[in-house]
Amino acid sequence: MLEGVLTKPILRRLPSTVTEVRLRRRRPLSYLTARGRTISEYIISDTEFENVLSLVTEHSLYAITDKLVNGYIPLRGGLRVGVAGEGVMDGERVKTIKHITSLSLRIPHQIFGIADFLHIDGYFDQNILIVSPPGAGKTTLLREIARCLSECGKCVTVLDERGEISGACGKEFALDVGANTDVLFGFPKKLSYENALRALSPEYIVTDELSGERDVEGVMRAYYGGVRVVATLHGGTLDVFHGDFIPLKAVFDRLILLSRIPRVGTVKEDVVR
Amino acid sequence: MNSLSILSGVLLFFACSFVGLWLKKRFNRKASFYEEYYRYILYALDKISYERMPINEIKDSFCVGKVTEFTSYLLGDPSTSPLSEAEMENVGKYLSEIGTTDADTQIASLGGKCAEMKRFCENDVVKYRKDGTLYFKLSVLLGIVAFIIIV
Repeated sequence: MLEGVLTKPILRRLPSTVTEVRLRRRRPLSYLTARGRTISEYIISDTEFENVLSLVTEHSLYAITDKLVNGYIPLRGGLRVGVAGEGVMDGERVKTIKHITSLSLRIPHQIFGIADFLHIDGYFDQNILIVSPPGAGKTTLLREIARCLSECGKCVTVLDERGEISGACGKEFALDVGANTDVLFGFPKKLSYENALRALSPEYIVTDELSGERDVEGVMRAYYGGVRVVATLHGGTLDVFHGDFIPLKAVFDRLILLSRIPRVGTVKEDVVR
Repeated sequence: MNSLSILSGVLLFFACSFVGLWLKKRFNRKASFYEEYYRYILYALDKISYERMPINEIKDSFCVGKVTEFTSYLLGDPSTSPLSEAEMENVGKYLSEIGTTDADTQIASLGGKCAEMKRFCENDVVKYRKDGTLYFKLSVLLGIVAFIIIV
């Protein structure tokens, strides 16, 4: 998956089980596996960093400017590259990012069977909220739930703004989200809730990383429209219904807290309300 | 002696005409290269403005079904180009810069280049074709004069 994105000297230093790679200008290469983070002795030179940047942007910075201002570059197969650098402002709007200094590549994984503890079958009928800190396996679990629901005959719509859940790439999906699943890829969240409810008649809406008023509005609209929702949220505890998220308290029947300890994807709490 | 001079005159005439034809072809190749370059800039501007298509896809879709000196150059074979080294460097430099800036800057740059190329095609490229025809005519005339002198 990383071929064509990273240079050969970097690829040679990465184990096959890598889940995240961090490149920083003139800093050591660092990567994450299930065993933890490794900081290699290999230093990323300016030239190599520029080469990788050129590869991840497909030599077409203009094509990803809209995404870049949100801090990431989506790649084929569900790969996502987080970007850090200097923002260029145009009035209130971030026009682009220049002087890029860090790239963080997250490699998506598909692990079949990790949602078995939910006992999803044809009668399954719950709104689920998965909570965890970054890198604890939220999206992997979400993907598996979408697949299981779909395989049980539920009509599922995945709202995949960044293509991370389905690994959307043009007309193909690199990851399995089920045969009975529709994917809205690349749409802003607000629009995708509307489109899904109006046009796709889903039984379940599956979406990643709720963040703010607009997402809450979309979830509430789906809930009142009789559609079940499976979503994820960043957090360290299940006490998440504050501020913008207060209305969601009435929506979710089941809360799952994931942890990275002792290993990524550990279910720390599973509360049915 | 007489038939030998006629033969020499004819050969010289054909040699001059051939040189003229070669010059005309060379100027025409150069003109065609620049015209295709202009079409490519227009195409890239369109694809970037409306689709944000990555540059490699733009190149591939532009070259589909076309076998010209410009498309060969675009796909990485500079050996067939009819341009001089300095001209090639100029074209290559601009093409390699496409994709290095954000969308607004890129579109503005391509828009400016299109206007520049339009003027260039209307003036210089037309002149290349005229020059080619002129050199061909002059060469044929030179051949006739040489023939008359020798015979």
